[in-house]
Amino acid sequence: MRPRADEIMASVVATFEEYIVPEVDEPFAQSIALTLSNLMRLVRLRIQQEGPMLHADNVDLRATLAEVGSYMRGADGRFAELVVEIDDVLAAPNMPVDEYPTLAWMDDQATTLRWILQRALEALDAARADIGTNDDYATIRQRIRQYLRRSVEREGAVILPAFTGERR
Amino acid sequence: MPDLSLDPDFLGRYLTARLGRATEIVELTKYPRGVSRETWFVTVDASGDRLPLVFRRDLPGGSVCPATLRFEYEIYRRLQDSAVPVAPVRWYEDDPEWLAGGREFYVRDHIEGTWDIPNVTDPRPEFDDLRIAISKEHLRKLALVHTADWETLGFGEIMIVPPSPEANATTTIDRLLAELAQFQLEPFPLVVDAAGWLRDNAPTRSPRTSLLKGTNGFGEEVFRDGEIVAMSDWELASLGDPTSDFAHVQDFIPDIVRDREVRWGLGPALEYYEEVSGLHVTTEAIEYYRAVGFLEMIVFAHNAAVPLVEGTDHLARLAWVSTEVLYWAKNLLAGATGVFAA
Repeated sequence: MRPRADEIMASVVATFEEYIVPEVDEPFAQSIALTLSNLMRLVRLRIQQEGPMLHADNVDLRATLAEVGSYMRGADGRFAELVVEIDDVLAAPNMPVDEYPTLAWMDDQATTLRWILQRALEALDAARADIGTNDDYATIRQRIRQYLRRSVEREGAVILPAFTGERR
Repeated sequence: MPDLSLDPDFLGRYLTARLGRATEIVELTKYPRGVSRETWFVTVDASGDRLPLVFRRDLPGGSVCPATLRFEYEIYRRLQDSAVPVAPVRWYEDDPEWLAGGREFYVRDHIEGTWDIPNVTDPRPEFDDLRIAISKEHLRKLALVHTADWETLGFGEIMIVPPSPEANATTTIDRLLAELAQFQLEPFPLVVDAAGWLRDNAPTRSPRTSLLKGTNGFGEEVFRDGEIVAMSDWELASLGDPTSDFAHVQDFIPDIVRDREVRWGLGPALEYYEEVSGLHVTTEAIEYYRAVGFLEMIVFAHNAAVPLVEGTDHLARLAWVSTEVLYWAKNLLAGATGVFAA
């Protein structure tokens, strides 16, 4: 369907900035207009990239959780409940079968996976006094940090080009 | 009563009842830059007396800031009789009959002055003296905040009190995580990782436990004739290490070097601050508290998403704070706690 949604959004932003913004005199409305331009650019980029970005992050996070699960399974049993949770979530399909995933579905996946990673980190923090000096512990913490770095970088790819000029 | 604006007729009736004399609204202006809450400048004629007032209320869906409006009001109230310059606060309104747009609000006097100081961020040499003078004035007022007797003023009644100065940093981290947990819409594994780093790297010494202003510096204080006559924007105030406020200073500690001579910068500013406050603050601890500040930024930026998700407020500014500002908070926290080096 042409124009695509992102192309329509580009038209909306351009029209808004060329014809509407110059006519706005009230200071609060002027300030909000600046915010709106930036947000419309963000929406355009998210239309283009949010699905692939969430998919890439979910794949990356599942791989990281597999490593976390493997480490926890080899520990002294204190992480047994989390190991079951991680196994369960990784056993579920990464994408819906026979239907196209909606953004909401992808986002729910991301949320589920990230909650488990958050709980795993909390459990690792709690165990640090006992096992924090082990090499394997340091390695899994490093692996998690590497995922966190990549995740922030992925988000930046959508945010950074969208926000330009004054914000308010 | 419209949801998004203050109705002059309503205000006139309200102030007539509240002040007990015939009151008319002369001017009503919404401060355009505010993000956390609404600020309205209201000039009234009360039976011949011209009163410049400020009305503060939450956004329709609450505030970006997790602390309540009542908390902000109580800070002003407790500072009325202190050496810290703040606007006289008049009253807090929670009577259902008079709520503006269904929202509670409080009223304070509008102090004559401006947050904007021409040329204060201009790096040309002719403004060096101005910039240093403003910086020193700000440091003097910060010293007043940090040496205030917060216990006698009653701040222990409304703020979490660290058990000792050594526990200032960890108390702050615990408070921020607890605030986030109250409204958290989605997980933040980065925050858990960073909180561990912040606990491991917390300064073991602290000058004292002080009242902290939180947001401070350019745009946050009211100046008149080169003097701060009112310190504003207290919504992030807390009790903790005075170093923390140096991590929040906006633009008022400029680096000024002429002919290889350091005229001003963080080093001279800390020396001057120690002279006027008696408190020793280190640059290393400031760096640490910058990282804590990024955690705080995540808390309030994520809080901005709540009214959008719950449908209680659709103001676009909330969408900006909960997207770009949140991203930068995560990026900066990751950088400060070593995640980007992993």
